[in-house]
Amino acid sequence: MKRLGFCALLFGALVSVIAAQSQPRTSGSERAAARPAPAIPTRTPTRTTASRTSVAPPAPGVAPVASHRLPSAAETGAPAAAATFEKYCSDCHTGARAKGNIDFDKLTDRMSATGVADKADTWEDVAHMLESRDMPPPDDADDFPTDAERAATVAWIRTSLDEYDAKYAGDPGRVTVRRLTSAEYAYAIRDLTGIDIRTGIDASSDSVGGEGFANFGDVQSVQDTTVEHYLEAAKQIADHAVIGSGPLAFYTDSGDTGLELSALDRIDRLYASRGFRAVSGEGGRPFGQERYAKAFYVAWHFAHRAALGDPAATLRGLAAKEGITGRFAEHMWDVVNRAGAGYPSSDMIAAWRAIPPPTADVAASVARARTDTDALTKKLVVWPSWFFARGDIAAGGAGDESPLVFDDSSLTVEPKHAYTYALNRRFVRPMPGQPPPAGPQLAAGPWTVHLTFDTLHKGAGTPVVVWRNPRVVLRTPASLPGPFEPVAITRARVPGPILKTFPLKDILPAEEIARLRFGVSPDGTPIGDNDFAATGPIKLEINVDHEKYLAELHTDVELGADRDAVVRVMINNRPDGVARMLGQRVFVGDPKSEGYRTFRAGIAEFVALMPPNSHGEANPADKDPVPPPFDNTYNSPEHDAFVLKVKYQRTDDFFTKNLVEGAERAALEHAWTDLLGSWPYHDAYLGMLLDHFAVTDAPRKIVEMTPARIAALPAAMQADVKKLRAHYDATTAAMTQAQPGHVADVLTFASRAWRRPLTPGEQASLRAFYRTSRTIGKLSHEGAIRATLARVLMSPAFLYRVESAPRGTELTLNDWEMASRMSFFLWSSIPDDELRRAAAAKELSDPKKLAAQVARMTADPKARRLATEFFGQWLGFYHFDEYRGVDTGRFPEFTDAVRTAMYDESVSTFEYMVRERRPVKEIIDADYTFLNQPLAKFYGLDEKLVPEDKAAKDQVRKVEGVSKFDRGGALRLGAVLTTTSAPLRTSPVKRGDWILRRILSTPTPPPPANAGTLPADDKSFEGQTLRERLTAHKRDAKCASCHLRIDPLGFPLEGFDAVGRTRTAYNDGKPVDTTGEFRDKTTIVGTAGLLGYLQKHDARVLTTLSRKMIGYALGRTPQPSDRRLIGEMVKAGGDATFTDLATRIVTSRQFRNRARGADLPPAPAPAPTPDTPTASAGVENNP
Amino acid sequence: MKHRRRSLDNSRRHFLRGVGVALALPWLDSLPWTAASAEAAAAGAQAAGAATAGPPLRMGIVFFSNGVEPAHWWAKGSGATMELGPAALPMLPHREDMVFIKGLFNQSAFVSTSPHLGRMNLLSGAPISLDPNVIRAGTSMDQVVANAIGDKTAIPSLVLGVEPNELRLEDGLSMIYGSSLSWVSPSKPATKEIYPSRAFDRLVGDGTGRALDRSILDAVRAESAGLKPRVSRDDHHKLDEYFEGIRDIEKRIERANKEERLEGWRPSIDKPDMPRPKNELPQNVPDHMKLMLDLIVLAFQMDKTRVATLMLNNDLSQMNFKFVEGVQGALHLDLTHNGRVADKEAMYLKTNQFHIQQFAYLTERMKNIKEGETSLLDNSILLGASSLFDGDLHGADQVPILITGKGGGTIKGGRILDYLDKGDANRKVCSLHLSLMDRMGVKLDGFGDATTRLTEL
Repeated sequence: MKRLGFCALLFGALVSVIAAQSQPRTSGSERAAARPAPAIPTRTPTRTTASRTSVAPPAPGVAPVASHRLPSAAETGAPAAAATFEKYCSDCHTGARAKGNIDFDKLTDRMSATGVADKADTWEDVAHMLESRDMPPPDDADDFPTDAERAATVAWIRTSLDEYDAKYAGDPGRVTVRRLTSAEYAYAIRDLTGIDIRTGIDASSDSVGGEGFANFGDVQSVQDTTVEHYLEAAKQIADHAVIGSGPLAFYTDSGDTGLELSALDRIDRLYASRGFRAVSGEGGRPFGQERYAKAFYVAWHFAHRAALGDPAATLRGLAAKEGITGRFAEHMWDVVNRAGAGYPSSDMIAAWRAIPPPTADVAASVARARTDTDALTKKLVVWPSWFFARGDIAAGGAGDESPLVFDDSSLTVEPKHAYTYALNRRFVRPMPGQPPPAGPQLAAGPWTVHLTFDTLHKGAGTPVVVWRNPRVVLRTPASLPGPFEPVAITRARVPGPILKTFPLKDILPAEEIARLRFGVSPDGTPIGDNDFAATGPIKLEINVDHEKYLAELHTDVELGADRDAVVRVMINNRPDGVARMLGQRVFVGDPKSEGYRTFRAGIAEFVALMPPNSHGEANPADKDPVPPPFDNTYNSPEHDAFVLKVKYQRTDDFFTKNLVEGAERAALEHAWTDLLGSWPYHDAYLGMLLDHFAVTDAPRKIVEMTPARIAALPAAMQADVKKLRAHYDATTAAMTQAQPGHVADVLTFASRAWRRPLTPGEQASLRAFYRTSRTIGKLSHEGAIRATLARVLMSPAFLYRVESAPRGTELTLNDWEMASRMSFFLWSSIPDDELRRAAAAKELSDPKKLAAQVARMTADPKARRLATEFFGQWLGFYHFDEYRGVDTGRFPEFTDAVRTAMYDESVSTFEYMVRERRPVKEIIDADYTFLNQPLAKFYGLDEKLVPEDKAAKDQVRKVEGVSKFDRGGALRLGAVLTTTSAPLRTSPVKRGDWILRRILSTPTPPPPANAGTLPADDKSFEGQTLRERLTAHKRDAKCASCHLRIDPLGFPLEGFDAVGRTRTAYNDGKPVDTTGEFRDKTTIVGTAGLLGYLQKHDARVLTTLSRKMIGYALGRTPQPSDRRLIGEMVKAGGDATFTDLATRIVTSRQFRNRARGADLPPAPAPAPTPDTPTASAGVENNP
Repeated sequence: MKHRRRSLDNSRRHFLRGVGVALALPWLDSLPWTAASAEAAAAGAQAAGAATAGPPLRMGIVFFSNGVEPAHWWAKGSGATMELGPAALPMLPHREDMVFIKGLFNQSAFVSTSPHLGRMNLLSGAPISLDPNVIRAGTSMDQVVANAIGDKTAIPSLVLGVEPNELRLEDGLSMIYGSSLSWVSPSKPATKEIYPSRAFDRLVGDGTGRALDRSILDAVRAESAGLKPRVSRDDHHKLDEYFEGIRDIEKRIERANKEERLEGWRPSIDKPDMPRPKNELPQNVPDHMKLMLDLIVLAFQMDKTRVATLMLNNDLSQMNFKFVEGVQGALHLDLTHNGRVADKEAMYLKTNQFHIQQFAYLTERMKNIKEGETSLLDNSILLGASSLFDGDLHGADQVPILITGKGGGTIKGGRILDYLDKGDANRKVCSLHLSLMDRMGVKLDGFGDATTRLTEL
């Protein structure tokens, strides 16, 4: 008997297989008919595979056939239950007028476990009614079910559901491959490239289905136009690739400009993160000097490591702690330990060595060392400013326009200098068209003048400076230009003709003359009667009638007997201040002397060891010097041509040698190579050189500069051209060398984009594509790389969330597929490195590890996308920033800024709930919201609720305790209240429907087509209230049944107007009535009432949330086999967090598995291929 | 095995294209020729081996949402003395080129329980799927035509719109229905282009210089074979849509690279006579619509496509009509459902007129473009229609329809065709579709719910 049964089954199975194979392609209509119930059900006859191949839950309408086994308890109980319903319920609950929409004719049609599960909600209601004895109603019938009948029927319902669950719960269900939505596409590109690119893949390629999300494969479609858009986008993204001498990267600008600007950006970033600058021209700000202090400290700590109780300390270890590079620490260690350093390095080194060693009180010693290293840094930073008498910001000045340069011209010394110092001149430049400034044009006296000098280098004796023939010269002040005279005033114009000259000796008081000892030199230098010699600073006071004369002090200055001395001489009105006027500060010395050479070497040493700037800007300002042999004069034609044509100059020797190393150093070299290789830099430079030397018969392209041609150039430029050519060759070589790396980088890119390791075949195919693009396609390396990138982005492996499913078995997703499902669920994008690592380590089959990943991912900033995508689509504020449904003529306050803020409010609220692990019940009744000041004002709240932040004043911020203002949670979001209104008035119907549909998931059917409408504008209500209008509408019975359910949930929100502001009265002054009255005459009032109502029905709310989450995560509609998972999620309660619920989903069977594909009904049916042409369109359209 | 091969080789598209080629070309015998075009025709005929050639027939469909106010939508008389109701008034200058069609309806739209989306089957006649998991609206008539004759032009059809796709559900149904008029297959909406610049680029791009695109597409297409055994049948079917899209582009590039035309007929211009529109969406609606209409004219004039549809707005449109003087509010909620308040009804009329004005503009422009001794309009069929009649009541007992263009001499203008009292079997929108498809060279025994042609057209 048993054997016979088995054979019969086997035969049945064979028949079905044959039937399936021989079944011709049917038209749509036949297919549709065939879909619910295959003629011969396929069974799985073997015992060994039975457990693995648990049958997928049949589509609605499919009754599991159970001919080969004993009937289940549910099946046994069905007839009795049917009889009970027939006997006690069918009077009221059948047919078109079935009460409460419960029709036992339909329900008892399918009394299988699957049938019951399909209508589980209804059946559970039935069970509840029977148990509670609410049904049948006592007054309605004379025949009542017995207790036993009640119990048996309820038991049958429960057993049926249990049987169904036992068999099917957690079934993965049919999930159609999903294409990236436009949002996912954008996020994925962002995560892949690190930049935002507006690709033009927009919502026009999306559509929404299932639970109301765009990530639902069944409703997505593609055709050639879509593919064209993808192609354009892919090429556009590939254009943003930076293909230079380093690894493949992406940048906000595309093409060659992208290479150039990204290189500049990379250089600047490195300079900013590692370098420093104390003095700078043209408004440059100083930065990074603290790195000197840290390096000095590291050196001190290292020197005293034993005493500090840190004997194992290393320079590199300490540097890492301080946040400076190891290379820099080592360099400064060498500096402070340098023997025989010259001036001024010697001063700095001495100061470092003077820092007291640690005492027993380590903390105090360290604090002291910190103070001292800071002071030393200050000294170091200030010294160049002092030296050149500048006003750099770092030295406490107001900034210096010109850059600091140590070179032959800035370090020129003169044996003798002739000073002309204006005593009372003021340079007043009237503005064109303005009257000259009021008041005296010449400053009143007496004027204090300091003649000072500082010793920069000492020879054998004490340095002496000789002031020769000091005299006061008087001139007539030049007239100032008239108010409307064009301003062309120059310094030359100001002084008038000389009227008188007074030797200083003639006008100084006697005691001053005595003090200065005119005519006598301490070191025996011969000097005249009107001359005097000084060993230190001299202070003079001079007075002249300032209204009559313009007075000047003229004097020559020269060295005394010690010709090896180098001194800095200044005439100024301050004893120690800056002397920025031209010619006020000079270096006096003998350029031929040994002393001068020592001085120069000392400065060069200092600049090499402790420069004030670690680097010059890559893109110099126009005041920055240009390199020799070009004319370095500011605004000279050659200088300007250089700045304009050559654009970039690399002056970062110190940075390169002493600040960066290893990968950073390599990155810097790559960036410079890219910067100078991204455009014809070398040709431009060569052109400048040729022009400078007036060479007209040489090639102007660097590639054509062969050694022979270089040899034919003027000798003076050969070295430069050789260097340039070598640099060009090196640049080209570096670019070429990087090429294989780029191909490898594209493969890595592909593996990230495709969200799994590439197969060897795929790797080979991508490499082949690159090669053929170069050979057959004749593309450059760069072009071929871009083409390959575009090709990667065009692959279905990127555009679709492909999951493998060999036909026939339920399949557990592999780790990579899990990683992808998780990241698209929680981030709407591709997995990050950590998730990829976990996938590679095969951790994503371990529920504990899955939970940890979910927790990590929901806390990540990328979880904001959940707020945008999941909550936005669920609650209806998706793309609210582009919402056009408000009549801004009526509501002018509803500005774009308010709209954006409302959108941010919504997104930020849910982002906060997710990332901060708030209980999900707060979705409904949070006591906080996110506002910016304009939105607070719009809502009629005190703007001060939102702390002011000038830096980001549009940013919404969390504001607590808002429920007292009737804010907080989904229902009271401006965006939600606005989208559920008509353009000109509120709509309690839309709001009620929103709650029924989106919060309670008990939608009402659409209104009949000819349902009357209410005026779109509450101004057209002719004195009636909206409620009165709706009440009239409800008198129509066909409208009433739904409105009795919808309206009571909408009216409590009447306290908000059509753009989400609270209100107490309508436009016409009538008070707002926020009472919602249910069919049973119970009422709820206002938001409080509504929130209470929803709290009472929180299981319903949680069911909705669970269904939506499952629908969003899986990309399919929840099905009866999800009941158990939903049940668990609901049971977790309102205190559960989104992360808790997401974890349940991610660790569920349905999330971790894929249904077998083959014997599931194909849907939607593929386009039919009819045999007779003429029938085609007609049949297609007549399913 | 055999089964698989069939599905690959015998694709729907393949089949329809076959039909198209075999069809008679109705405009051949009815149009007078200029010497020049006859010459070109002769040259073309030699090349293609055909008998004669002349301007082809084009079909343009302009959809406006939310119907009309019935009281304002009427026509009386005929020819030059035809009188028009206020809503149709912008058509007055074109009444002699126009057929005003009354009383046609779509049974499946009429009975649908979804008052809006259930009626978005104007061009297919098939029922809109009310199952949220199954997207289905039936292949639209324009796409059937495009499938048949699309291979003759650079672009099979131009599917344009003004409003973006709405990403939400309406009464539990996907708003893809409200956002789509053209469907390339029963379950696949045609991608609607709302960016004028992109539409322009499609028209102007000639396929030369697309070697790179081809190499990328070729390489991607080669992935198809590897995918098939790895994925489920459903998924493979879904992915195949993508590969089919690729194949379509490749064919188009190929066609564009080939200079010769089957008919040997030359379009009146071979370069666009309008500047390339800006990349951004136009800021105001009338400009946007005008650009889209101009693009249709350009496409027809350059013979880049012979089938074009334009949705002036989506169903359930959020379009705010404040750009029309004296109108305030959004099309759907404020103006259509105006609660029968007089001033709002007046505004609704203005929106009706505005829609018709767009259709009039298209007619006017095509009338002024010469093709030999005929005009572009003479060689075209333009259809203006909405999915609803009484917009406020979601009325589907009939739909407003206007036709202009001589259809290559097959349509006589200046007439009113009233089918309202001719019995439901004789007043099907799908009968009109059959009649129009006949003229476009696609002869079917049945379409949608119709198996007969519209009488009298």
